[in-house]
Amino acid sequence: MKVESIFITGVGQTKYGKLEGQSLSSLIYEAASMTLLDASIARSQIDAIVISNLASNRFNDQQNLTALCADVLGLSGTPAFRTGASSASGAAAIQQAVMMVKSGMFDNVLVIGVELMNQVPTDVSTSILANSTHPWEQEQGITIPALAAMCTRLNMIHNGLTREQLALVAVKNHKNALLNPLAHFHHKKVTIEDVMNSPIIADPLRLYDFSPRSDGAAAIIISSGKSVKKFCEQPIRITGIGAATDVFAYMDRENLMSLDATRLAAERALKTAGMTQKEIDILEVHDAFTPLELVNLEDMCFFERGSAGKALEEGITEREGQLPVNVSGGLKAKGHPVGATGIGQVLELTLQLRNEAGKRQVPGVETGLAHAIGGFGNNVFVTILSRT
Amino acid sequence: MNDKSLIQEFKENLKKRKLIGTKCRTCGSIGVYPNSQCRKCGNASFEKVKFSGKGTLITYTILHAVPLRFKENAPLVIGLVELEEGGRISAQLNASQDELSVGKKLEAIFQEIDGRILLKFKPLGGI
Ligand SMILES: [Zn+2]
Repeated sequence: MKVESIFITGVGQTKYGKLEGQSLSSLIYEAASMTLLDASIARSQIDAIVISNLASNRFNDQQNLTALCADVLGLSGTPAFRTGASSASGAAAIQQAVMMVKSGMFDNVLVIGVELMNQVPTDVSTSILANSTHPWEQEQGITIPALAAMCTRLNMIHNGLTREQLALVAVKNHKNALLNPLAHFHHKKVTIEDVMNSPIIADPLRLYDFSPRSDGAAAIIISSGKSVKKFCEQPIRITGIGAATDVFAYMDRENLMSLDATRLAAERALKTAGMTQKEIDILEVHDAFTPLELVNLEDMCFFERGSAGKALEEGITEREGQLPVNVSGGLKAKGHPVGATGIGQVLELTLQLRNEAGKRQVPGVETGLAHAIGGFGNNVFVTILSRT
Repeated sequence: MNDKSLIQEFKENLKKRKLIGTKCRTCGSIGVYPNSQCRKCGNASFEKVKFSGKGTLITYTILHAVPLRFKENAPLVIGLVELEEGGRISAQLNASQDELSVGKKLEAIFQEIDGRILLKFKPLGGI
């Protein structure tokens, strides 16, 4: 089924980073208010809310985010839903909202993602994030970074992936974040040496291969064509959505070197959009760990197996390159407030397509693709946008 | 058999220091940690496979950022092992960094930690 005639009519986000003095309510309020303002839509025109979050019950002792969110926004009475797909929850919430609008039941759905992770110490947060792995893996002490490290080692042995290429992903995305004032690392320039000398987290992966623990919120409004005509000057069209899951435990997968759910979700999204890889101008790719950007670009068939690293070295995925990837800074440097991340990716594409991305604007962008992963490739969502 | 009893049985066997998995009666695919349905063919009838515990290291990592309850044991050496009868299992390894290489032959050991039996692997013939 084609998605056509579903639009993004407003976007907004808070700064990502280690935010002092913020609460779930204040972050939700800030992101949602900016989004309503951006869409020039009245509060009363919001028909439903979808909220995305990973673990507010563990990070902040609060699990009733639908009630909290509706109340904070003065929208009590409005139906509110919460969508979960581990670290891809934000992208899942967007796709759910698309289906809600497509169903004809709702005209304007406000999608909000939020995470406030820095209220607990790092080791507590490591344990909370490890809850996204298979029960057996958890019992052995295996975290998502450990799975990523094992997958990376196989790619180094069999696909020519190099340690320097991984460092270069971090360097590129940190460079991009210098132009994004809302990024977690807006002022941090990172060199290959910085990455190579950072402490080992899960050999061969080092500290600078990982996205930071960020606080933040992001929101967008998904609207029907009927609604768009009334208020939106520059709607961006959602042309394709695709989602997939994979075998839960890494040990039980046939394919250990790449993520099948990424391949499937991308195939499905491109099919619903009626597009090919060649027609995509920019991408936001889930780079919670540096190898993911390269492996997933290959899984989505933007590059042949084993060649995304070379494309990076040649500058193809730089902001000025033929196929810019993670111009926002990516999860790596823009930050990864887990529940907000997938929404933040689509927000970046929306700004780029509207020609409103400021200093980091890529000229002449007509289409964009966002890719979000939950767990270690367990849940993947791909969303494609076009200028209308 | 349902998932609950399969997993219970797997864990009971580990406590008895036995590694016993499942073989699909329809397609023959071998699973170490049980799943209620065969991932290959979707059937749900299994016979038991007793593993020798010998296998090959497919990939590994040394994990420094460990969950809270493993803090005292950090760093953890973690590997993915393919057993000689088929099927794979991820586990901690008792191996030093210079003993680690992909393709290394390993054998299972059952280590008691806080009254709990943990399945681990060590280099074949090693200490
Ligand atoms: Zn079978």
